Amino acid sequence: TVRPKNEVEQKQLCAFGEYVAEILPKYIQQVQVTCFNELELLIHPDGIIPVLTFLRDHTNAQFKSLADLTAVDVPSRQYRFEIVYNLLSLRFNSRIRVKTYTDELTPVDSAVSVHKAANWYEREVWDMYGVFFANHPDLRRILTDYGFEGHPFRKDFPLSGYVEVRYDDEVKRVVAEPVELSQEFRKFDLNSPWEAFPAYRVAPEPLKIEAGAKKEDAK
Amino acid sequence: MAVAGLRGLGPAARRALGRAPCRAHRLTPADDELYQRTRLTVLEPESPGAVFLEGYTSRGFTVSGDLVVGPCAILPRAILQWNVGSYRDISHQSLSLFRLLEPRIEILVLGTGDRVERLHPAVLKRMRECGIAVEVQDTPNACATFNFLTSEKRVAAAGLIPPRGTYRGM
Repeated sequence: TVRPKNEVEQKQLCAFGEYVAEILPKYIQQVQVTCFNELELLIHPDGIIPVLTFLRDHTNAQFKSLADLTAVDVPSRQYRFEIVYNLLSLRFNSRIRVKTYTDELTPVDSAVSVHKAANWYEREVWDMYGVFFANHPDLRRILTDYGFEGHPFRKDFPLSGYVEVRYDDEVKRVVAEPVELSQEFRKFDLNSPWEAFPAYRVAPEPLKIEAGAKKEDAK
Repeated sequence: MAVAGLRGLGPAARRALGRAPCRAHRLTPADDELYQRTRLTVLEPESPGAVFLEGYTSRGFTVSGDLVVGPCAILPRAILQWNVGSYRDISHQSLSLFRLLEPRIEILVLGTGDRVERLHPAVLKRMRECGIAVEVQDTPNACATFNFLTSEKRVAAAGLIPPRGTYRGM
């Protein structure tokens, strides 16, 4: 990366990450700081509500604003979905990311009791990925059509979907039928035969902080 | 200095900065100067054939002017009382009526009461195999969804369980 490294901010984030890890060792499994100075807490799914309440209410944290709630699908893992909460602290002007994991069937606690903003975000994650949120006041589909089957953002859902709609003149309304592609799907491999970044053959590791142990220094 | 700075901006930006807009080059009114009539679409029970949910209470539903007591099954041309106690009783058998209809309904809206309840996945799968899309929601939202779908002329049916909460008319 070309951006100059901000050592001061990185040290502050590392210190804050260690502080939080010492207060909540039960749920926090790993703390890392990316090379772009973003603090990430990786927690156990049981600990979503305690950790989010702590981050919202504690005097030294005060992350009152939930900026985003999304999920990432990595099908090769055992717990394929990674739920990501992005929080913003207005008092301290800093951001933090909280990540949890779940698979297709395990429900996850809803963050609506902690942040009201999570309501529609969790509906979107349910609709697009199929992650069920327990204790959500109103978990129904938000973006897909009524009666749509499947969860579109999963990696095994095809790009064109399974169903297409067309207007049928006989019955005078829109009908849904299985999709027929006029041309078969082409996947282009856009990698160039020449190496793009020879200085970055090995990706730089994010700074990991283990609870109790010394900080590992990474690039 | 202020004039020189404004010359590079477009007309909208100039208006925002407080300069008088000059429209000498235009002969007909621009889009934002035309008075456009406001269009309003109101969902109404227009056509007498269409089934339209007018209200729900903790005791029953008002469908096209008729009051139905207890859980209600609404079909494209019929309004029936449904033989279920609560959302737990929604099973393959209690949904058999919707499967037998001819012409086949496209979408079935199920209202499970106060909150959204997860139904047994096998039941939903059997309905899907018959070609009927199932939409499970809480009853207030299910009523609204059914009204949208009928106003869009989609062949929809509904199975609704009255919400147990405080008395509420629509």
